[in-house]
Amino acid sequence: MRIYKEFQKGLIKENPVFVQLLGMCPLLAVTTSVENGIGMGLAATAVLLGSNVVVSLLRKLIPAKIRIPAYIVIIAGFVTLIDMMLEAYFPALSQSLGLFIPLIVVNCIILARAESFASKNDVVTSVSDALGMGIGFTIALVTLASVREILGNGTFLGISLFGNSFEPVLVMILPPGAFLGLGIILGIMNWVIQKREEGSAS
Amino acid sequence: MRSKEIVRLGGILCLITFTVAMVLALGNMATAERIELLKIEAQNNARQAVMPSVEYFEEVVLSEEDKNNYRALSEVYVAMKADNKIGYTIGVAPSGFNGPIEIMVGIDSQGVVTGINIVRHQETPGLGSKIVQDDFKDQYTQKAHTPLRIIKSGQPKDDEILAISGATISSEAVKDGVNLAAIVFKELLAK
Repeated sequence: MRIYKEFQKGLIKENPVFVQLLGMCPLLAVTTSVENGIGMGLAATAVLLGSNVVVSLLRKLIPAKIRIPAYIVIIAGFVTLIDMMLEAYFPALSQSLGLFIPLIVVNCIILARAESFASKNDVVTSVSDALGMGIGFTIALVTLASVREILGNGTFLGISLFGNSFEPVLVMILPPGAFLGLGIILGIMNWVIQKREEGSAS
Repeated sequence: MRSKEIVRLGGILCLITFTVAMVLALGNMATAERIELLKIEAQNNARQAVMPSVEYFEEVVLSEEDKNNYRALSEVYVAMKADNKIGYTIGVAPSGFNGPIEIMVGIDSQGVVTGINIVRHQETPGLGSKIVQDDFKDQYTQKAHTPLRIIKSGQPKDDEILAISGATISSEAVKDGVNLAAIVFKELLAK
């Protein structure tokens, strides 16, 4: 039961992006298309999984005083490994994610999970935490990317939705569109949560 | 902190970084060859695509002087068919909106563009990235009157290319690349 709870909390209740507002840099940068969002989400999930497992295994061996550099080295190692794998086996994805893969190193979600969860819990719960948080991050990326790709380019996963008469709202796939989209999604989420709380209070 | 403690912590950190480095070395050994092959294949495909009737390519070695004179020039290959030169593929990398755009330009022995291919770019997704789409790229095919110019609207003439709306800088960069390839052809290769 506990394992499921740790997994599930990352999806909505403690969603790293929509609730904890972590990982904003990759979120705003790569969500220009749904394909990029999925790719970035899965790559970050893989790194998170790897780093959570290793940090959890070594939690009694890494002295508290040097834990941060140790975590960073472990995370950077996984990122570099995944970068090489992507380049060798998924060259197209590797090209479109380009610069953002190395940026996973400084994705604060991963460091935050290592510090606040994996360093205090056993391997199995750390794995479920990593999967939950990773998928939660992916959901957030795909949600924002869908809004931006549909409005800004008239496509979803590259498939044209509206035909030629549709004039795309270009600003949505430019950087300001990321902020606009994120703000609107966060607003809706907070509104829904507030309504719910009012409903349960009365 | 006592010095003994510092040595212990340093030792542990050293052990961690050493292990990570070993893992990375193994990963690199497993992937490096494949990555290199993919790069070569991508370049080959790009050359083939702009010079469809080719049988094989021969590299033209560029001198230091050529590289200094044509800064955005990266490679030149002669396209051969039945021991005859049928044209050249010229790799150029003009600066786009966001870093260099690597373009492969095919030019036949009369100086007519046989096609262009965008090998690598980092242009804005949804705007500049449309340079890879066929309706933009195909405009260059069969162009013989260089230098080409970019127009923003209307019906392009023989020496004109219709820009991608909202991405003039990227369109101009591709045009500059093709013009450079044409200059290289005239000054270096057509002699």
